[in-house]
Amino acid sequence: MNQPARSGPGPGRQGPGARTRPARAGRTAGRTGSLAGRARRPTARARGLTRHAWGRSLLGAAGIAGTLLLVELLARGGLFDEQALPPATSVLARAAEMAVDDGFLGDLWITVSAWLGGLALAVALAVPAGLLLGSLPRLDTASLAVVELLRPVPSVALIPLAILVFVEPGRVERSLVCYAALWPVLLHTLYGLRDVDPVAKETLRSFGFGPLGVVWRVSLPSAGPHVVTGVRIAASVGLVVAVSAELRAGGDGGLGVYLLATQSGGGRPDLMVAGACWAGALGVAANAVLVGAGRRLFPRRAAAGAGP
Amino acid sequence: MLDITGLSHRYEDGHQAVEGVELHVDRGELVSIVGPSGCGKSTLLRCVAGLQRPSAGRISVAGRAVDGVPDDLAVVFQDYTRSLFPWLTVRDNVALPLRRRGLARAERRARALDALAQVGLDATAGKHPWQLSGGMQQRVAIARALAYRPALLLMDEPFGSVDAQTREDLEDLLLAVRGGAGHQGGAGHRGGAGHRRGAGHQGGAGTTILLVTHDIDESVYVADRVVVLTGAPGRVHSDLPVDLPAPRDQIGTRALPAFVRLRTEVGRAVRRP
Ligand SMILES: Nc1ncnc2c1ncn2[C@@H]1O[C@H](COP(=O)(O)OP(=O)(O)OP(=O)(O)O)[C@@H](O)[C@H]1O
Ligand SMILES: [Mg+2]
Repeated sequence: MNQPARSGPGPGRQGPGARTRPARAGRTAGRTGSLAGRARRPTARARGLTRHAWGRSLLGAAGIAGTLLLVELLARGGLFDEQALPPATSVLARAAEMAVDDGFLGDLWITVSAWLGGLALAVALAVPAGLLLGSLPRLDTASLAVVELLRPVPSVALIPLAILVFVEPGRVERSLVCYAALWPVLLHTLYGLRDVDPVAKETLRSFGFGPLGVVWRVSLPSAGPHVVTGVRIAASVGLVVAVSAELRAGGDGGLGVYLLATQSGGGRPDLMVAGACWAGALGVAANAVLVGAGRRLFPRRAAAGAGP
Repeated sequence: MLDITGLSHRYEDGHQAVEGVELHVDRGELVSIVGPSGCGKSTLLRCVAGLQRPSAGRISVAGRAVDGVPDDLAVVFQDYTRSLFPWLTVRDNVALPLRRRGLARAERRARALDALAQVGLDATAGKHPWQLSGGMQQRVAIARALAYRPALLLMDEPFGSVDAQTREDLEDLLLAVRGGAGHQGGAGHRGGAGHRRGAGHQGGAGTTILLVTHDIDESVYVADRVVVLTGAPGRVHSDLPVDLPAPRDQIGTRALPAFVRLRTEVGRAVRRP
């Protein structure tokens, strides 16, 4: 009874001291001792976790540094044309300069706002639609079939059509991002709802909650981690589509437009790669934010795997 | 309070789970249901809870025919692990159904903590269900049902995963909850967590309880009546009144000749098809 049952190896188990010490204290010291042990355990676990996280980021940093060094050596070594492979240091220097360049920041902002705007609209449409379709018996199977059929159509292939329909580049971009982001979110919401434990739903029902109450209080939070995963995928797909749309549809700003401009007049590979790096940084940031939000909203994933 | 007449249920796959069950339970009564595994006890409870429409028969709760979930009901599911919400803390799990009672947030929380204290779990209120042991989770599910203070409480094998001592405490808690004014005996919960908030919190008539259990001693100790089901398909084999004196206690009551006679009778009924 003193030891909370945990299924699956949670990250708390990694720290060597974190596991053994409080457990032993609990066994020898009896009831009051075990209570103290219980109080101490989270801090010990947290310490183990931070140590673990530090080790991981260190390894990651080493990998990135190594890759950069390799690129630098390859570029400077004359093995490749400097036009094709700009050295890592000059790319990083350009990227740093861009961070304080108002013109580039304006382009970046145009992309980010179109991307996030389209993504937000997609989430606002897909989650309620998923909840509605997924809660109605049989309709979820039908809609899953439709989604599975429409999903493989690459959104980029719809750029010409979107240009034809929406004309104005900003609207073209937003609508394409929204379209591309819609499917992953809808799909994961539908699958998440299928995963909801029927016993959990019946529990709430037995306490007198109606269908809406069950959807809101059980189905949605239970499907939540799936929805967050859908949004993460949608965010990365949406970024690809946003930049692609800008490359094709042009307009008066945006990361894609900036990249097109670096192409003219002989071309500036270092600027191109630096711009691409910024696009990548956007994707990494969005993913990190969403992972963090998922952990905060649905702690069981982080702490105990799939739960009991 | 509860009237079941001619209840039969056949599942979609053709399996006849219960057949011709008759059961009448008065308000405030605690009825144990025992029977071999697979004899349809859970099916019976699910039909009473309105979670499953029986293929034949009539069920009425508090004079109203069951069509959908009856008002003022709580169920402790056999699958207690799956019936807890892993995204909520233990306290919020217990407090959530109280929204149906129109209570303010602070009141819901206070009542949840109260119920958790009754099952000796007030120290774990801030944890999540998956951080608790099986027996602790089961007590959370019990606390949730108790906090709701339902008119009709259905419990499906609710003490299966706890140790013997805790099980006895929970049996006594059940006796107190039933609103049988008398019961004050019984050991408090260990660990100092069991400051029981009086049986009188039910206010008035008290809760009618249907308790499914595999433990024959338990079925006699807590109940006013023991209903024995026999299996495949489930039928009522016998319906035995328990005429044990009112303030029951774990040591004394179990030593009574009447208790020994009853448990023998129930045991024989369960064994003999
Ligand atoms: N959803 C279902 N579909 C088909 N058959 C079912 C279903 N649920 C239960 N049954 C069958 O109905 C019978 C009664 O099941 P039930 O769960 O009511 O038994 P029980 O008395 O609660 O058993 P236990 O004591 O093991 O919990 C069993 O034979 C079981 O196989
Ligand atoms: Mg059962």
